[in-house]
Amino acid sequence: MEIQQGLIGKGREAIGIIADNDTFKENVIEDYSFDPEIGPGAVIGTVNINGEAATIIANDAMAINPKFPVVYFGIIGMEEANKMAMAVYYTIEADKEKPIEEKRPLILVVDTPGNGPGKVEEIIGMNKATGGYQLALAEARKKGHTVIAIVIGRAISGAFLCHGLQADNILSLSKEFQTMIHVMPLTSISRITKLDIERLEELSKVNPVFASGAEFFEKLGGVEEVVKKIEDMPETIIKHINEVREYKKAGQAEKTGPWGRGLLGDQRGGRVTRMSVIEKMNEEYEDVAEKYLKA
Amino acid sequence: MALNELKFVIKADNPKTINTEYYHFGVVGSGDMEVIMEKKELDGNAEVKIVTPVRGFDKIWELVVTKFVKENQLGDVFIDINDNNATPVIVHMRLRQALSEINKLATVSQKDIWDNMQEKDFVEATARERAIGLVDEGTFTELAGPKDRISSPHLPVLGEAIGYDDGCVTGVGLIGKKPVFVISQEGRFIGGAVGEVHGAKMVGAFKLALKAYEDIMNEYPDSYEERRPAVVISFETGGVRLHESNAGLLAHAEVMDQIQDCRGKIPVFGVIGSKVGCFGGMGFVAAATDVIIMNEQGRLGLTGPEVIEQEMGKDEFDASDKGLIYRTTGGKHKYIMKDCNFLVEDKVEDFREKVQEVLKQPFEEIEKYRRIGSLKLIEEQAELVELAVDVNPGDARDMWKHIGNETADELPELTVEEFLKAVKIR
Amino acid sequence: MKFLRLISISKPTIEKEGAKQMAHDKEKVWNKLEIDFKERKKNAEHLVKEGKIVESKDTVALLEAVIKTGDKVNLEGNNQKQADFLAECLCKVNPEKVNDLHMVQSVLSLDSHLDVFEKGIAKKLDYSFSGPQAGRLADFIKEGKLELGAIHTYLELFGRYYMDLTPRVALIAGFEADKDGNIFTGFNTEDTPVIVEATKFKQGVIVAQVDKIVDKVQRVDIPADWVDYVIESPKPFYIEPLFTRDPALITDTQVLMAMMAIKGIYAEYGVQSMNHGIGFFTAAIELLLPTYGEELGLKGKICSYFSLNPHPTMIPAIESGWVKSIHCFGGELGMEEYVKERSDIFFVGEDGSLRSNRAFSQVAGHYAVDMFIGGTLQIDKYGNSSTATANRVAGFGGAPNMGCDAKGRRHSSESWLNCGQECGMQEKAIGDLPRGKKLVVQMQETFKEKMDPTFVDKLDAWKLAENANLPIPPVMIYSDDVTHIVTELGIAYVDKCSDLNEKMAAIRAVAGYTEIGLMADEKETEALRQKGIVKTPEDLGIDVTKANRSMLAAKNIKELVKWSDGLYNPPARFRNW
Repeated sequence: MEIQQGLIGKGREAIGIIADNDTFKENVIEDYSFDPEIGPGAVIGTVNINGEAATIIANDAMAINPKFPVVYFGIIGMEEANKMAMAVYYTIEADKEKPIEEKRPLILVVDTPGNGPGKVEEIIGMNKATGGYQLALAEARKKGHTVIAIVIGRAISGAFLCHGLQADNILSLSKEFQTMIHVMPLTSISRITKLDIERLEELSKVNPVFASGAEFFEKLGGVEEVVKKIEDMPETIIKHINEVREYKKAGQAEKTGPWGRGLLGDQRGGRVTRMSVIEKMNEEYEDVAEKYLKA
Repeated sequence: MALNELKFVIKADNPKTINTEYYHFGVVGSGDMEVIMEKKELDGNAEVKIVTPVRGFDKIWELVVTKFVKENQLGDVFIDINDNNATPVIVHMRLRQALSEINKLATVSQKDIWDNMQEKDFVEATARERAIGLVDEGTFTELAGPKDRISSPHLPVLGEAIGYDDGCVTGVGLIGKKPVFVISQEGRFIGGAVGEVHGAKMVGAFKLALKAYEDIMNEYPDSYEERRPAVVISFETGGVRLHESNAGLLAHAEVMDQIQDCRGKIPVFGVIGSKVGCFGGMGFVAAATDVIIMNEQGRLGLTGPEVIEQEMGKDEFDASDKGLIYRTTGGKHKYIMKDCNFLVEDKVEDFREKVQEVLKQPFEEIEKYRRIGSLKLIEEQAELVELAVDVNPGDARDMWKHIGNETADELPELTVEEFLKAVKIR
Repeated sequence: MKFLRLISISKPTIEKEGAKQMAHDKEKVWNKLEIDFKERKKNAEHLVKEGKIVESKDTVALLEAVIKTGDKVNLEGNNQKQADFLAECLCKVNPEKVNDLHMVQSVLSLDSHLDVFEKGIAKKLDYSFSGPQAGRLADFIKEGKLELGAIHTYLELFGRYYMDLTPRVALIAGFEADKDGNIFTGFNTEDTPVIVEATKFKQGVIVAQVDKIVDKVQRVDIPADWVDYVIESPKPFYIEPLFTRDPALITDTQVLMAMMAIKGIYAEYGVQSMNHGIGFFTAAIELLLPTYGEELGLKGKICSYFSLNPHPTMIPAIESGWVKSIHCFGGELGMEEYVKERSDIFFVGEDGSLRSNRAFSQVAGHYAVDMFIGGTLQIDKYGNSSTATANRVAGFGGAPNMGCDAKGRRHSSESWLNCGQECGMQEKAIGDLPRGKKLVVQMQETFKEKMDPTFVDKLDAWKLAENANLPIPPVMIYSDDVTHIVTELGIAYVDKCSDLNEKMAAIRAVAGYTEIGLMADEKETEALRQKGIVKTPEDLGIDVTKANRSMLAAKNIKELVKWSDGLYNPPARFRNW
């Protein structure tokens, strides 16, 4: 594997590569503007992609949030997640009268090492901020917006759950760019589950279910496509925007998003049990549905 | 590696079969086991299958199960055991308890069983007991339950014990005329953590609830309100199951997506009152529900106490201080912060009655209990975060005092009843 | 010139002393210790501020002044109370000035208790219990950093303080002192009186750390005449909450075994006085008295008198009127207020605080109790009981003293006589004279965590003796003292056995699927059941399906607080609400 110069820690640079030249208007979405002091680790704004306006949300791994000691270097804390959620809601609001083909896409540029594990975060309720951002993205999707996520660096655990995993389609730079997609590094998994680290390393080479990396997630249906060259990013994103828009126009939204990725996982052989469980439940419910529907 | 699978065929002198087709008993917790006993034509023999991570004790297993079969004169029975390091005495006890329950079926009514369950402390109840107990008596049908024997395809290769419900009980029941789809997580099975099968069951339950909604809207266009389905999740989980971390993570995203699909259609309840609490990515899911009901022992959050201590140091957060943990993530604190809508007493009955009570309200009213899911709600949360910056709480009590609770120190000592009278919420 | 004048002034005294010393060859000197004591006091004179007060910053200097190389030094490592500041300071003395110390102390509990060996300040050790430091202690012995004298049971060690292990210097801890040196040790008096008396009356030096120096102490536990130096330490002395057991952790199996013990032993023999060894089995028994004990109509017939620390799990039984008196070895964090308000039950001074005393509790535990009951780790096929593991030297604590028949006992009680009457091997030993016997009960499940068997062919204590160079394997309770063994499968009334073979068969009968239990012969076991030497839960009339946590009078710490009307104040680590 040839290691390439990647984009880890370079969220702002990635925006520059992905968007049409010089179109990035930070902290602005239509008529709404954001206070730059709040959530410095979350970079939001409007760009043009292939000529049309799009909302972009990225992580700034160089930023530190002075108000929250556990939030630094791209960690998504409460301010960041709330800000990202608001960016999504303003996007929905801005295009609410428009038909599907004119609703602006949302591009999530993912490079975050995690959520903030702090005391104040627990007291105030970090889970609401992350959950809130997820719901906002899910709503955007279901209202016809196309949401594309592209992993350029680290996509870790709960931070990836809220910033990435609700997208219609998820792309990722390949492992040559040191992208990291996982819940936890193997050393931590080993320590917590008390499973032998050598065994885990051995298994992780072949079993995508806990191995770290874009290629494994692709097999599981967690990533739609792996991008092999940085310069291919804009083109690939545009391709996916168009594809997803077509599905939404045709009323085939179930082919995208988390559910769509579930189907992919089944197709690609990475998550085969899942579908059979859901089908079993459907079958068994059919046998008793009458009792419940006609109580 | 794989798990150790043992099979024994035992002939008792005067074998008799059991008086039911199928019976499931137990939870595959650490040091424990589950068993299914089924009637089966075996020429009078009893067949015992054991799946266990333990090696080197095959002989003892044989002795224990042989003794059990012979002393109870069992035949034409298939005994199917999933073990997780249970000692011989626990094995014998569970087998005896299962048989005792089977024998009681003839004399004890389902109503009595349900009534007993209502009296149980929620925190002591198993996931199955909670699922059955949260809906009206006798209405619960389990879906994809242990009978289907769907276990994790990923745990055996890691040498981890499996369970036939993968730590998640799903099914449907009724509260009044409303079909209520229940998801109940078992904290004793790998901490209630979500793997591929567990996650699929959660998603499957939501899908069925949404389908039921469509069917009822079609069937009863004028009277659907009293039949509007609901989803109730009894959370007990640490989040993603690390052994299947990627599948678990993807399942979390799917569940959140389903919750968004339920918006404007069916209410989703989060019920949190069990030992493990609700943490990790499932903390996000809980926050996304319409209504959260907790008891004093329940805990809701993202990060576990040990990790916070590791990150911030023992002086900032001492994970061995249980009082601190409860002030930070416990039911009373979440109630004060409006992160949970209702605080109830400890019995299964108390939770069921609260769900029932809330379900009587019109759907538009129920939606008002939400804490996230719209721009307005997020702006409110953002304000709360800014307040936190101002108050800079060293301890949750600082927030309670700021909100107006002068006797903040005493609040943890009060009973739920006293607390609800005395407390000021955000 | 000045120098000469000084000499001439003090000449008469020196002459007198000198005369004594010059007569060394002709006449023996009988007050060497007194002379030495006075010399040490003189060395430290300049550090004393007022009365007997030394400032905490001068502690290391004080220790260097009053301790000499080769001294026997006692350091209060008690079970609960720790003279932690003095221990830290002892580790800071200059090993060139002070070394080769012989530590004689009850408990090795803090890291500093072993650091002092690592730094070359101490060399030899005689002690009783080392639970928290067991692993490290084993390493030190192996590496030669520490020379082990012997492991004792508490009362035995206290006895040696008055024989051949008298400390030259004792470093103790208390709550308060006045400037004269009166010390209040109150709730956590523990071993202090026995240590101080032995040391002081052999002309030894007593150094005390106290939380606070006051004008007048709340109560005089150690009189000023017996104390040489008091230091107000920077932090209050450390107390281990050793005896608090969270009822939420008691399992159904432990409840079953507790029920068996209550019905099959307590009720059977009419046991009125006892000591409960530390652990969850006894906690379960304590919590079943108001429920199961009540059901069996046993109030007033059992459990009236205890030699016991103030276990929080005793609260429901006390509140329900079961208990007449409890004498405590030491205190227990959080129980201070409760004990104060229950002065009819506990030994409480006029000032309202408990007076504990380990030595006297151990005496009571030896002679004045009808029964000792506790948990163990291993039992061999003969019935010898041990908590030793191959790589941890944990010691014994009080169990060997309380868990043995008191051959010197002469007063009778119902239980003592009942037990002696059925002792199968008594006649072989003393002929046909009637004699009573103390009940010594050992409880454990046949398998502990991770399928670790309790019943073994050979105790790990043998391996430990090899690894740590001990003269004999350390056994907590020998088979000839064990009268009953309780497992989840039943009770073996081993004391009824007429010889060792029968005893071994009785043990096999309750040893389940362990290698020992698998050797049980069905017919043999049946015969023993007929004789009443082995009783299963069914034989005892106990419904196993009812044996679960719902029987406990309190299921968690919060319920204990409720039982105590809010008087019990659990330490932070037990407060889970």
